[in-house]
Amino acid sequence: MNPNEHISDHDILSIVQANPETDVARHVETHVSHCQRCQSRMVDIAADPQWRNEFSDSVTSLGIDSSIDTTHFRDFTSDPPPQDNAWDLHAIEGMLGDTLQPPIHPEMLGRLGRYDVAKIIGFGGMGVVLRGFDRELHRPVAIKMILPRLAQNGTAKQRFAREARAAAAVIHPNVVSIHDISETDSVPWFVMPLIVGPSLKEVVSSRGPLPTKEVVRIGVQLASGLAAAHTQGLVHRDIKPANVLVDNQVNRIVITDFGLARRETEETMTQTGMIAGTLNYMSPEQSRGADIDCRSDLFSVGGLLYFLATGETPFQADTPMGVIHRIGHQNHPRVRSINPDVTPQLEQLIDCLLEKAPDHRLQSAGELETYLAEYLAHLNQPTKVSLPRLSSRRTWRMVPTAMKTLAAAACLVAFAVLVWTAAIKLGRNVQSEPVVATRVMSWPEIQQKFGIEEDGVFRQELRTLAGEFERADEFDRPIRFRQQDPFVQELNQLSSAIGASADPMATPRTNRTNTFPTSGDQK
Amino acid sequence: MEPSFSTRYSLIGKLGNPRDAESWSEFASIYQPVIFRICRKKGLQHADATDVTQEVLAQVARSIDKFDADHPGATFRGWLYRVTRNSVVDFFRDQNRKPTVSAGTDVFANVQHPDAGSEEFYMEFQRQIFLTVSREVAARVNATTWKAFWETEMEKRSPEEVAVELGITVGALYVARSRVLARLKKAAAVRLQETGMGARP
Repeated sequence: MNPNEHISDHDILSIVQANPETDVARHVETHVSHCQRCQSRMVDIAADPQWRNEFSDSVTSLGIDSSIDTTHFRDFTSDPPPQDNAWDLHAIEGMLGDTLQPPIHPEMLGRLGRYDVAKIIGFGGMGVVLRGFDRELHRPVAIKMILPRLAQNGTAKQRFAREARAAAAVIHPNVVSIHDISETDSVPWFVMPLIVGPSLKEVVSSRGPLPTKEVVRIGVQLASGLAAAHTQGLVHRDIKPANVLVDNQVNRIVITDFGLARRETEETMTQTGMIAGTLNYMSPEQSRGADIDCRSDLFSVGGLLYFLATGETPFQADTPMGVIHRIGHQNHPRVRSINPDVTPQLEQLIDCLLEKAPDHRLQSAGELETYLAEYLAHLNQPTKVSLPRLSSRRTWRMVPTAMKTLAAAACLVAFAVLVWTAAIKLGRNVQSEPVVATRVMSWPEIQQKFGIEEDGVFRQELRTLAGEFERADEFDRPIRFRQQDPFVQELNQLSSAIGASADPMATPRTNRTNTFPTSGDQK
Repeated sequence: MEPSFSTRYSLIGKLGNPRDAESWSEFASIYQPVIFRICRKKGLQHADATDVTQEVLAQVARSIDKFDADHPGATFRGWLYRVTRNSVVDFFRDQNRKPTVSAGTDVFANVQHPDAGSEEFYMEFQRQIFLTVSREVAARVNATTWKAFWETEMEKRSPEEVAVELGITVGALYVARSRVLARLKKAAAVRLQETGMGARP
């Protein structure tokens, strides 16, 4: 055959339609190697130029448009996962595949009882947060499940379940509620309402600092919810703008993540596993690993209000250690020097909350709520309602009369189960138990007493997963503890009772009186 | 990427008619990114776009049996577009809010004028199909063949240069490139047909 003869269109068509692995006749190969006419013809017959342009434009633009993330069924893969959790993504999928029942709607991931599980929306503490849909009540929900690598760990599961029950005990419009707690194949999970709306962090990031009245309005709700939690003996320990959500649908703020409800997380992790930003709202006593009580939360609230009012965090530094140092030893910049529109009263309140010594702060969330409510009333009707006065700080020593608590166990998951409840002068009911001589128990003794397993790897894992910076010696330092404390005995019973499955339809109110002794007012 | 599909297939295939579930899954695997991308292009934030996407998919799943193929003038593509559009409108109305970005008004505008959105909808769909078939064909030919195609057709490099790099003749390169092109075009046409998109308007 003459290699100079062009190949007919008919032959070209046969060639291009053949399987790419098929051999090509030698003469064709030789001819096409040198003949531009046949080269063009071959490509054009395979696909016309217009199609080719559209195709290459489409595909290359999809590559270039990587800033607009294309979603797959697992949306969170477009957010960079923390290094340590990379393995977990696959494990979670596998676990979900095993744990979830097959879905009714094909685009869902699966089913958990009466809930359709749509997708994974993020990680929080020890668990993974899923977005779901309650088929019976026809509403979207958030479902949190323990992480698979912890699912075999009895201690972790106990704590996970314990946190859920404890937080379920707080019923308040400004605290995220727990609808349902259950277990599937011994993997615990619980259900919360899916909150539609931004976190306070997002609000300020997009809108800038908020006007004083808005800050006060938010503060009232925040204090109210916090007071309810404190009444139940819970110190949140991680109050920060990212953990307070604005529920668009009912126009109120909701405190989340008592180790629990967390939306798609945008926090970045440093190499050591710290979440940047968590530190900024930590109280001085917290940063030192000292005893924590509800006033620690109030410090964090002060930091949060500071952020709302100025758009900045009160303690900034280049390194986490720098931040901690500032928190403990340096005063925050004056609020009004950053935002002069803030009223002197609000500045004074924030300063009061950000006092380094807990004794010098506002002493309870209830007191804060009262003050802010009165202040808000004044702001709404300045002529009719007078400015409330911030009661002067006293430095008398606290007399601990009520429950003392064990903070170290739960602190890994950013959520303390127990708390110091101090006697307050301002009219709260207090338990009138006398102070008994406290014996200092060491962590190993506590472990033994409560049968808490110790596992170095487990601790490390939890620490990394929780992303919280914890001082290494926190578990070794002595903890003040009262042996005969009934609260502790209750906790002990609770630990052993975790195995029994709770009736999911029982309201938390039913459980509450069994798990925690009532003290003070109940909302 | 692919492992997640296979996991989902195994999840879905456990119940009901496996064939139908697989068809839906394949359809949804193209449809979902399209909606998402359109939302993002309109300025929706990631979270909002995700919500709208989920809602649209659920809506389509719920009402797909209401599509009447015998109705004169009805095309699946047109129906699909209308369902999508309605879901987006419903989403914003039910949420009683605008998207959190100032460009949100554009979303509304486009959604309220059906003709303006339809072309873009089709283009995004086609785009996604191109992406999908690219992956498929790339997986089915050997590396040399694919590179012969990709480096010349997409990267626009000179055939002579690429041929030398791959250790093949220019003739062999052109044959490989053409064959891949033909496959892609055919696969894309089949997909468009299967998913009811059909020919361009």
